Amino acid sequence: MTDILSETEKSFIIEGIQHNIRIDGRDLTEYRQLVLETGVSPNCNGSAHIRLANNDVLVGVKADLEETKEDTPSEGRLEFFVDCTANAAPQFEGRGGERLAYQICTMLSKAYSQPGTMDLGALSVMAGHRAWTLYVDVLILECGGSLMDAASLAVKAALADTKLPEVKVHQVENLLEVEVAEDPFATVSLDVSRAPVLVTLSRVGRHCVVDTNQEEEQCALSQLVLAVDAEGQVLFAHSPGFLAADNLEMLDLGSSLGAQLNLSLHDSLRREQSLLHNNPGLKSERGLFD
Amino acid sequence: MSIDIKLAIENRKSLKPRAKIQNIYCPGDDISTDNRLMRGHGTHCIDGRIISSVAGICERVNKLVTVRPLKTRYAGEIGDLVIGRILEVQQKRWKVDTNSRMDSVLQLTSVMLPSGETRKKTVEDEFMMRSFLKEGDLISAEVHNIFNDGAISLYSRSDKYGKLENGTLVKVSPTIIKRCKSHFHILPCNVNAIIGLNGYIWLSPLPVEDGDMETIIRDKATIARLRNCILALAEHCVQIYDTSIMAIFEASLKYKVEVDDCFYRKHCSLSNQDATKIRDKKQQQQNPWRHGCHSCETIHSTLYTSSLDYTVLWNIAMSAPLPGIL
Repeated sequence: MTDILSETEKSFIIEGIQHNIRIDGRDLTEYRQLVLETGVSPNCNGSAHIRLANNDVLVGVKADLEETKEDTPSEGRLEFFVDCTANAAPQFEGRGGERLAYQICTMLSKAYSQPGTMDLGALSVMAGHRAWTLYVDVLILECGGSLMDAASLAVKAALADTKLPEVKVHQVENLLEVEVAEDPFATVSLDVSRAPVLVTLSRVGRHCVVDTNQEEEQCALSQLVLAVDAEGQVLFAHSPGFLAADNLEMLDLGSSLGAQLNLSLHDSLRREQSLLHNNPGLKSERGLFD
Repeated sequence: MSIDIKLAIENRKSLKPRAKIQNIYCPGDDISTDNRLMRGHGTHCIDGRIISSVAGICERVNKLVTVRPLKTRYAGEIGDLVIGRILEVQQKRWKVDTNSRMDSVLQLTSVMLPSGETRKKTVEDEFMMRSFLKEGDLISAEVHNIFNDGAISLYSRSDKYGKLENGTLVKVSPTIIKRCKSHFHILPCNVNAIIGLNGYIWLSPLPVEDGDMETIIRDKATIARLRNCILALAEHCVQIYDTSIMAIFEASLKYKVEVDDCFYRKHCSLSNQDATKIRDKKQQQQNPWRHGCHSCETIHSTLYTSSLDYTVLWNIAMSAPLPGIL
């Protein structure tokens, strides 16, 4: 994605991290600037656009009424799809981005498949027959390190923004009839208070760094991805590289950061809601890229 | 350690166009219908109308109309100082990334050997190429020649040029680098800066003999601050050269906040205030040749991200002096 660093640039970064000075002046446990916006795509039931420094992720959630699975008759489903556009990096052209997309997709579906993260029962419309399936499409428009964190935040924001129409399903002589509420504004929102976010921790030298930029990512010995919920509970951990010895310390750091991220996200979403409520004019001026 | 998630709509409130933007064109905008004018770079002609093909600032030299894009690749000029990154080691030459449209070439014959010799290169040297410069290494060099297809051939056979070590690279758009007499600077804050005309800027601490921990840490913090300052200048399209870098650096020292990524935004709001003052002054003085601007919204959505301020755009358009060095 970015160019290969020379050995001396790497040692400059690693040496800086040892002294708690990163090349952009941040602390080791500091996140870069995050900018969030929800409701960016009118075609989706819910959408969010997030920028974490130069990471740019757009997420759309589309809901579809589908037949329930036999093993989970009273639950809906979440389906993730990640697409790395060639705009993000020339390497993503063609099938180049599939590997990364697959990684992010697996991490997201693993995180959301942990029990208690989402109330899938709330997606059920008629037990044993129909339930909502949420198709979560993640579009990576630009990447600049710590993509997983940005993607998971965007997914959570998009799910929070998701509004499902109120529907009823009747069974009339073996045929299912879907009845949509007459009021177009009668919608149901999802409860995302327990939805997890992903926190990537990188080990650079002897230190543990969060929210690495692309240069720092190249200096990392190993990475640990944690799915953390709002209470700081680590739902699962995944390490693509080898596991470092003092993992417990990393888990502690990850859990407190994850809790923080969750809280700030909830706070921002609430703030956005109240801003839009008080000033509906803001909505009409909205555009994706301004 | 608190994490702040900003909202895009909060930023947008302050983004109401404040000044009428002059002289800035989006792709497809009409520049002129005067058929006596000549069209230059960044423009094309449809039905006798001159139309901008890039997003940028219109410049006129007599009859020639050009649009200088704000974001572009580096188009080399012979003699320019550039910073490049080795991409590939080939036979008798290196492929170098210099932020231009094509990969640049550095011939084995146009480098100086590590021992400082400038003798004729032998076959042994050819085998040793990777030990001189390998993939990922950064070099400073001069533009030696430009081929017909726009590819650049580099030259670093002088002790001024060569491999860059122990420092950090900052990338900005080449359009905002100011052409100066010298591009090698030792900044008063004990930092060595090489400002490549291709938009790559190299920052490294001055070599110190048996430097203690404190100096090393201070130098690192200074470099981090400088890096953010340069990105701040770039974000606001202010020309970059040693004076502007030092001006913004000194202005940033006022902030006790340890340099962080959001820091430069805070700083920029300051330079915007200054910029507004300058603009007001300028506005009284002269009336720009172009009047009646297209909708600011269009430019806004096409050109800039939320943090860019119109006053600064005005600044570039009027090529006003920098805030801070008046």
